[in-house]
Amino acid sequence: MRLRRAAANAEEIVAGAALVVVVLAVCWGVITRYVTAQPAPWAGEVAAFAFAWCVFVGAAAVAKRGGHVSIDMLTAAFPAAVQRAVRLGAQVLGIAFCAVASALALQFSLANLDNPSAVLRLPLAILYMAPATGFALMALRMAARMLGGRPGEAP
Amino acid sequence: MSGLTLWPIWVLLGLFALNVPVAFAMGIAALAFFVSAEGLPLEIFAQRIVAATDSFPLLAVPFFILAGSIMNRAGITRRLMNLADALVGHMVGGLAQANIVLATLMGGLSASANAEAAMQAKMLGPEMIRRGYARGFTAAVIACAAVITPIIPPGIGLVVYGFLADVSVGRLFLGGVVPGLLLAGALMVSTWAVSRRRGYLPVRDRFAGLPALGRAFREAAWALTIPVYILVGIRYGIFTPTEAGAMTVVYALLVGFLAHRELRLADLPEILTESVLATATVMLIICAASSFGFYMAWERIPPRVAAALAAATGDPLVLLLLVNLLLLLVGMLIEGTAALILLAPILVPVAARLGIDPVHFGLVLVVNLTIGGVTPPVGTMMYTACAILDVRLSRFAIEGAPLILAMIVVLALITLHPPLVTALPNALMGPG
Repeated sequence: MRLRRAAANAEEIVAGAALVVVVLAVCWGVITRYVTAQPAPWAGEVAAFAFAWCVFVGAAAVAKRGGHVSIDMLTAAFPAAVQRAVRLGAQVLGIAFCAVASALALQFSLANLDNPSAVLRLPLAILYMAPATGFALMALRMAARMLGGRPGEAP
Repeated sequence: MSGLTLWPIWVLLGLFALNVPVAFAMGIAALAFFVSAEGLPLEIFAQRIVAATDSFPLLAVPFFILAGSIMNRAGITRRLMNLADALVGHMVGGLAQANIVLATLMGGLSASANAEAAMQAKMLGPEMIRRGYARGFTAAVIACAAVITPIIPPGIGLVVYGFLADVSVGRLFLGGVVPGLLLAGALMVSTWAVSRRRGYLPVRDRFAGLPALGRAFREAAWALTIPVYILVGIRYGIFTPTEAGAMTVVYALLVGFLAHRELRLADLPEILTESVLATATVMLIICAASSFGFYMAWERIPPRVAAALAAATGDPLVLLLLVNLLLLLVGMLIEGTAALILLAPILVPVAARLGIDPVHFGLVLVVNLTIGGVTPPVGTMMYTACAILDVRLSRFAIEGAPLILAMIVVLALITLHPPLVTALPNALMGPG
């Protein structure tokens, strides 16, 4: 039960934790700047990495709720049957885009496995895995939504 | 203009019209361009998508969202409400006036108009309706008051504009103070006129008295110091706006846990989820826009538009008026932050070319597009308030008209008289 709930809220947990890391890293940067007159050089890098994870995985949590901003001005005037068709088309297009974007980001992270970051010398792949993971989750969550709110729906 | 590739723009607009989410529409149009263009490696697309998250100034977005979410649960909002009530409860339409003053006080803490509209609609809406305010007017006052919040620093729109236009966020924050107060004043006058005509009563017969006011001030003191230390900290270079955001998060937690003792550990997951959702919604659009922006830069579209517009009119005033009309129209149809992200990269070079101060231009843009959040048929604060208070959009449009009009007057004032925006940042931080 616990595990299933954790899986349903996986994005919120990962992105929320990443957000906490961002706050802590920046605060640590401020504190060290006053103690050593130089902000801890790694703080900015950790914040940037965590922010990427927060944004892209968080975007999957938004997708799960169907919350991404769109413009429904024009389609609202269509007849119901056309609206359904357009909505289906828009969903398929969105899912396809997320799948392609995820694949591209994955390819890019694999190409950057040996490319270290400026300060911590961590592989930049960690950064590029954020959109790879996030877009994959977005595609999954949107597909689940389209097929009718089965597992993966927020409680 | 030979060889200018424009079709990605048509693809983008077509996808918008078909209700594809804004972020995906920009990503798809950009990706199609990358695939079709010769000699453009697809890696650039992946790299551009992540690039925006590497911006230190943009980190202020999640921080101020998070801080606002914490403060709503830390008892800060209720204390500010008591203060607002003690200040203006004796005026005609007292509750509506208190609503506007609260949005102004919250402006110094909260950065998001939507969160503000939702919070006030839940907290004050039912009470106003119970005391005889028309439902439509209640929703209109709440949604319009929320326009003030992101203009008075801190504000997410200002942070995003600062990133897009490469302008100091500190200056933008200071530049928002006077326009925010003007908006509050204009809304109060307009509310007063409506309330008088309709006989909306004051909360109490006369002024609450200095002792009561003093008590309310003392109780709200923890919250009231936040905007002061943000502005002072930024002004004296103690911290950057982003660092101020992170410190505000910590401060709000301390006030909630230790000073007010109203925040509970069990609240934190919900606070984090709420903040993640709001942050990711805005940031994904910015990330996608950065890949679409690569296409626009590749085709040199912003400088071309700038040249064309500058050739059409050399008068900065005419340009500002045109931009305002365009944005009011766009703001009716597109969500404000999305519109800002789309249009700022094109409009800022034009403004720069005609010698318009970038801080002034930013405030005009952000005020205009925030007002777009309450102008039918599309407006997020309007939707929020109407959904919570069960008001039809047509009713909102009628009841909100005098309030929206009052805000457009303020927009015209700050457009025509730049010092209203620029005097404060220039006085405190030196001429830019």
